[in-house]
Amino acid sequence: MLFNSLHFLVFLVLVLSAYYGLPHRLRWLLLLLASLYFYMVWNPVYILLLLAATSVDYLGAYRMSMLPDPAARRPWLILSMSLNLGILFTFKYFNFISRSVTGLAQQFDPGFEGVVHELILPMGISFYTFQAMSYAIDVYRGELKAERHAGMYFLFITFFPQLVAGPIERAGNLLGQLRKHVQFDYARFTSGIRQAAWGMFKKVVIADRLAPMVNEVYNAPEEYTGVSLALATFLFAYQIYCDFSGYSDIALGTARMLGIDLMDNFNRPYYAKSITEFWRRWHISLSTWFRDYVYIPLGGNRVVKWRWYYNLFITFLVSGIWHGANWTFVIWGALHGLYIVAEQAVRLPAFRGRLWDALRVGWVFVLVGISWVFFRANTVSDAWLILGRMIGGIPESLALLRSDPVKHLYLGQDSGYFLISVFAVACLEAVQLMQRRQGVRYFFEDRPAWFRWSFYAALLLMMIFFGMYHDKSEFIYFQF
Amino acid sequence: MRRLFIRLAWIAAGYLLLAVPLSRYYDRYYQRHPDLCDKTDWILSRRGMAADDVFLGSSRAYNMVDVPLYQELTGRRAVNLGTSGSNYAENFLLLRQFVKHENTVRRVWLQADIYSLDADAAFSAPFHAYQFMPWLSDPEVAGVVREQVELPHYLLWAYVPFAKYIEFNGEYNLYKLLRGGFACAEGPFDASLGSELLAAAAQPLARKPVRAFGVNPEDLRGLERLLAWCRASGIEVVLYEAPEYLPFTDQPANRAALEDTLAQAAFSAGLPWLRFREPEIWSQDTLFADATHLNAAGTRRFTQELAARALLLP
Repeated sequence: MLFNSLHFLVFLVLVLSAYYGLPHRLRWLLLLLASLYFYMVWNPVYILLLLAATSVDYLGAYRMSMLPDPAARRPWLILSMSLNLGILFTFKYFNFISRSVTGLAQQFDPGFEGVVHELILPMGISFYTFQAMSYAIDVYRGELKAERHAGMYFLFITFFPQLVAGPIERAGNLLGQLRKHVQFDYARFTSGIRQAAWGMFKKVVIADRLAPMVNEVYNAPEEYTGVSLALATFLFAYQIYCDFSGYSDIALGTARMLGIDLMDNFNRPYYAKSITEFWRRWHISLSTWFRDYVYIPLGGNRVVKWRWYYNLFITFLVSGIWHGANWTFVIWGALHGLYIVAEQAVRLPAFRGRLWDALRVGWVFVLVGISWVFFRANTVSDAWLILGRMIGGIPESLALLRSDPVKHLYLGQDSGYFLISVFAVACLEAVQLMQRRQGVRYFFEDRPAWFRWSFYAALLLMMIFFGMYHDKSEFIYFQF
Repeated sequence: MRRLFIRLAWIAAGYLLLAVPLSRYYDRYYQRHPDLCDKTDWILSRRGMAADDVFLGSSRAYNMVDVPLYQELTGRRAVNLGTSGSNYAENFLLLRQFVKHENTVRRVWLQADIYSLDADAAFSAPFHAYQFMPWLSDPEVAGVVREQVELPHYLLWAYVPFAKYIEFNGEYNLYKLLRGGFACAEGPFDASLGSELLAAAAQPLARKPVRAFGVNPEDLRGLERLLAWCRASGIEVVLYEAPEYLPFTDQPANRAALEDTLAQAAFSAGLPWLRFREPEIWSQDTLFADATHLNAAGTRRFTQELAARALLLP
């Protein structure tokens, strides 16, 4: 079920009505059934896979909680991890590895035929397996008591606002809240509505509006050059940010309407002054997951320098692989790993001042933009082609901008469409510049009533007139 | 909770205050300011035409009958009401609106082939609901739209003011409205009388993969409704099957059974079903843009065949 659909709107109204109408002891059951329905709308069969994996994790963690000796707990952890990683490998990585091996083998034996399966990638698989693994690891480490209530555990994994694209929640944060007796709180409920509405704005007015222009260029990069490729990459940076942070805002807002606070997943990432800071602001739930369960177990920074760099690089490489089974994502992760290592190895002079900060923000945006080329390109060779022509084709593209602006400046759309897109991005930036504290919900809460209501009206009007509803697109991160 | 409901009621009231007049304004505006480069809009904007012959169907009517040539060969006034990828429900609405808008029709040439019996399989979106949004207050239009789309969508469009224009704000665009309507004030269809011929394709023709077709009961009902409405309106109907590239017509495997269904439907309605399958003509690559569409040269050739048969009709 897509958040940006009429189906979800009706579903949410029904769930909220029932939630606040039911006694506390039955609410977990309502949320669990609603979450299962939410997932089954996409593919009813794959709920069995989710429930089977979740059951093993539940039993494994339950067993671990009864064993005081870490050595005795280890086999259960290995079972849980093997199952989750096995599912991920089978559905997400098997074909990629098989095709890569086949391609390599065919260099020596052209007749070599590899094996691939035609299973559909279960929606949200990378998110719910990571959430389940963090739970198992926390129980193994003794940092968390195993959940005894099976229904509550299933709800922790399947809680519909964050099931298919995160935030990747920790049991320590979410399980307790699912048990808590929630009273209807007007301020909290309306702040949830505001956050969800802001997320919807980012998705339907910005991300979905930018998508056709980006797709036009990235699906035929050989037809474009210089400025057009740079412009498409710039727009993709906003598309993916608005798509994913829009999803997160809707997820957080929806959960908040139910009285549950999920962890913040984005904090104005393009205002980061370093790549390290970018990763503290972008997909925070995944960054902290990798920090806690990959980087620190590798030794973190409490090792010799080369090993520290190695740990950083490997963490980002794995993060790239997590995103998708394609060499483009591997390179994207490796590139961020290299950025981070270079940033630690070459310390920039610590000047102060707004101009210096602005330069650093711009520099980080350029670096991140280069990495987005690999993230979005259909193939690695496309990515190299785009980067090569982006830099080398500027003089040629300036002439093309004048001779065929519809194709090379408006990227296949008319001038009105393009201007509305630029205006929508400008609105986003205006709000982000005005945000003083972390999280968009504080932005609304601190303002006088006239400002808030004028803002809501403007937001509503933009969604009415400029939102993209007919050709609904899935959220980009659903594919992961 | 009460406070929330009061706020929501205020927001809803504010929305209605804006949406109700805006929806009416959009309805009127887009009925009167069609995009004349859009074939459907062009059809819906016709007034006072008197047509002896109307060609109706999907792109196999729209792109495959040269109406000016047909007029020249037969001396009859004609118009092409075919639209790309449309099913019988859409064809019915277009013909009905055309007649309702003070145009007269004596005979309809209705394309009937295996693709029109399974429009969902043949076309990516066989009913273009967005085209009819300004006309949704017409009960007949609303009835057809209701059967063609999912009920929640229909209810939203029909009963939530302006919702239909929010969903289709790409087509019914504020920017275009503020700019004074569609840029295309004079389309190409006035001269071509609704026809648009296709360019020649690279030779030899690319063989399309086999696709499965069946009989969709909804499409069959759509055909029957269209025929019944024509009968009730005193409009003659001729069913015809436009040419296909014959070397490719070995597919799909159940083609013979589907053609029997069409012959039966025509027989039950007491109508002729004219087929254009002369192998000496329709096996020439040079007449086709693809396996199911004639190019401009092929369309002219087909129009001559069509005109010859038309002259034999009373």
